Amino acid sequence: MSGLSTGSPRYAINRVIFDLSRNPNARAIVADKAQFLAGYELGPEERKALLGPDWNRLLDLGVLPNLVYRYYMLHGLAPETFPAAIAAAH
Amino acid sequence: MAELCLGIATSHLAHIVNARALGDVAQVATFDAGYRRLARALADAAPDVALIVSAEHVNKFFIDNLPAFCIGMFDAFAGPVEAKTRDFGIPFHRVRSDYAFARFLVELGLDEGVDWAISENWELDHGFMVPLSRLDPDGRCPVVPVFINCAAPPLPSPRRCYAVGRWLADAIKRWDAGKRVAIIATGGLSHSVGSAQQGYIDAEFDRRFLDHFCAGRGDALAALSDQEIAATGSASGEVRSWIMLAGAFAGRQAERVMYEPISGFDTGCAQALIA
Repeated sequence: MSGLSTGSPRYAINRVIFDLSRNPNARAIVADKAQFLAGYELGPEERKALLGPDWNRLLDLGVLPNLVYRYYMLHGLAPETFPAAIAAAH
Repeated sequence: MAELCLGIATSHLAHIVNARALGDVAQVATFDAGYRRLARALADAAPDVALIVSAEHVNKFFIDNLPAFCIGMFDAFAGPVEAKTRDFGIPFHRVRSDYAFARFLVELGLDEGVDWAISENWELDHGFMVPLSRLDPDGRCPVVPVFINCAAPPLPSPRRCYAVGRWLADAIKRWDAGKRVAIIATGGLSHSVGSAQQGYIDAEFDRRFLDHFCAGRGDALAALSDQEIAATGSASGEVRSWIMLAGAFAGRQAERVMYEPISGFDTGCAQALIA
């Protein structure tokens, strides 16, 4: 990132997950996310939802559903458990 | 002149190669049989080249640089990109493409108002690679990938996808190559990925969509609104590939090969053929 906000309400939070999913050490980073997130211009609500992680809040904040799903799997969670997890969080 | 010789439409979910046990056995068998039917049709038609039209799942295209439509312009590509980081059921491998055909489409489109983006280096994801692994496992036919943004709104309208499909058919007829061309559309039907709706299948929408598609009523599909499609699932926007195919074969009837709402796959799975 340039360090300058683009003004897009969804760019930075999507960028975090997109970058993470391309990082060969993604699984290790997910185990200790705070340092990785420090490199991004995120609002407090965005940072909280990513750290949670709060799947429904991520969607509310404009994360693309494909990236929410990928973020879920990066946490070592089985993809077929996603519907139950997101329903339980409601 | 080239000839548009075959149209194939199929759902493209990866469960069929890496999570088969999640689906009902009889429904998965129907899906498998459908793939065999489509593969035979492709082999019988023996196209010299195929276009494969699909969504992409935010593996390559991201919101920092996101075209509505993109053509892969190269002699080869590789995928599935997912297989580079995990066991995906099919290996990461190389597929032949056709630079000259892709370049012809891009140049003609840019001259006629279909402003294709191009990619000359693209590791494709399951939307393209899973159907190819079933339809042409030996890689006999060179394949040119065509991307439609179905994942990051705002999406191209169904009407625009239909119009681009009509343009594709006309452009193929004007390709001075004497070759036979197939179009493979992948994705859909109703499903959600990564949203609260995941697991919901709108079978009523799917059957209505298939009825229109198979009756050659592409104009009815082009008239669908983004909201109507999105209401059936966060990933249902992938039906845009079917709508582009309907445009390419405007007015032509299709054979309905199969439809199964496979709950374990979270997807209304469908296949159709225009021979």
